[in-house]
Amino acid sequence: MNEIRPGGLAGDSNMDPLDEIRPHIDFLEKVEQYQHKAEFNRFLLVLSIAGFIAIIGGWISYVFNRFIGVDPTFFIFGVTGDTDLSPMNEPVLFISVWLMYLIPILSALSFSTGTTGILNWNKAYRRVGILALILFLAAHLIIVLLGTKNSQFIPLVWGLLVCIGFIISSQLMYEETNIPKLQGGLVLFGFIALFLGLIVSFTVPTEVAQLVFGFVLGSILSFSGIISYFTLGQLS
Amino acid sequence: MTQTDPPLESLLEELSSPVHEPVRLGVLMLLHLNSVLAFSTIQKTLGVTAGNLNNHLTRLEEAGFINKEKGFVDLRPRTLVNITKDGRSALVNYSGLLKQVLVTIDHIDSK
Repeated sequence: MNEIRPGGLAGDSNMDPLDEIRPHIDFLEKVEQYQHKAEFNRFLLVLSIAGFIAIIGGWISYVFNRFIGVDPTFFIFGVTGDTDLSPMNEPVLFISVWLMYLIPILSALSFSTGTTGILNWNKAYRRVGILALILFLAAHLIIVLLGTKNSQFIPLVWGLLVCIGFIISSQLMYEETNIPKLQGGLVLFGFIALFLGLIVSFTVPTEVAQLVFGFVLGSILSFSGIISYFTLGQLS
Repeated sequence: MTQTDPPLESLLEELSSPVHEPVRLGVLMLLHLNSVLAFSTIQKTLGVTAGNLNNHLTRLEEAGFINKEKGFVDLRPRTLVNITKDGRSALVNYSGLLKQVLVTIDHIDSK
């Protein structure tokens, strides 16, 4: 045992006190390494989930464009310009779409408060979550202001806001986790989103533009998370 | 340094507790940060043998700082370890003292 006896240091009374507590510091460093890797794995999980959400978002947008004729953003705010698609005339679809938006957001907000015992969301993730919510609302606001006539620019709006979000998140995450790989990765994903939004807006027909944007970006995010988990992440 | 200053000596005496052992400190710190961990995860992270870790966990359990229970990880039965409220307070107290010790050592060295 390496305990300190009252009245003196364990073992040798002439021992330097720093040497006495050095083994403790060594073990605390092992704990720090574990936390570092656990934090990276948690980030990869969030990245994969974000990719999945992008894919679902793109798919929903395609279904709306294909069968209803407008982007869901216009529908949920009742600004489609078509009275047949007003919330009063399509209440079931209107309420179900709002629930589909609200339930994941409310779940994320709920599980971000207190300690769940499953996930330890740190300060950076909380800030990233609030930032994501603000940018999500900002994207909808910009899309509504652009109007249905400028629907081809929707992927560009999302690409731009995702880029801003990833760049700010990269700094927030770096301050908290001090992992340069994570910071660089987020900035790269941000610029991929912006570039993709730009390309898709000008080259892909509006009906499938969001689908292409969501699937390509979502696949990049999800597969990067999954592959990184098996190559760089995972605990022993 | 061959002579310990009285304040440092008293601080070192105060450190004496079941927490003041490298492996036990590592275990409590890991559990403080992760709430519940499998025995094998703690063992691999700290790089100790199963027998050694088991002895330390028994000491911590006797002190009321941790609880051990049987659970499942990846559908395999595992021993899961979690920290108690007393364990958290003991670790917080110990961390405060350890910080004071390091500051005092630094202060003595800079004289």
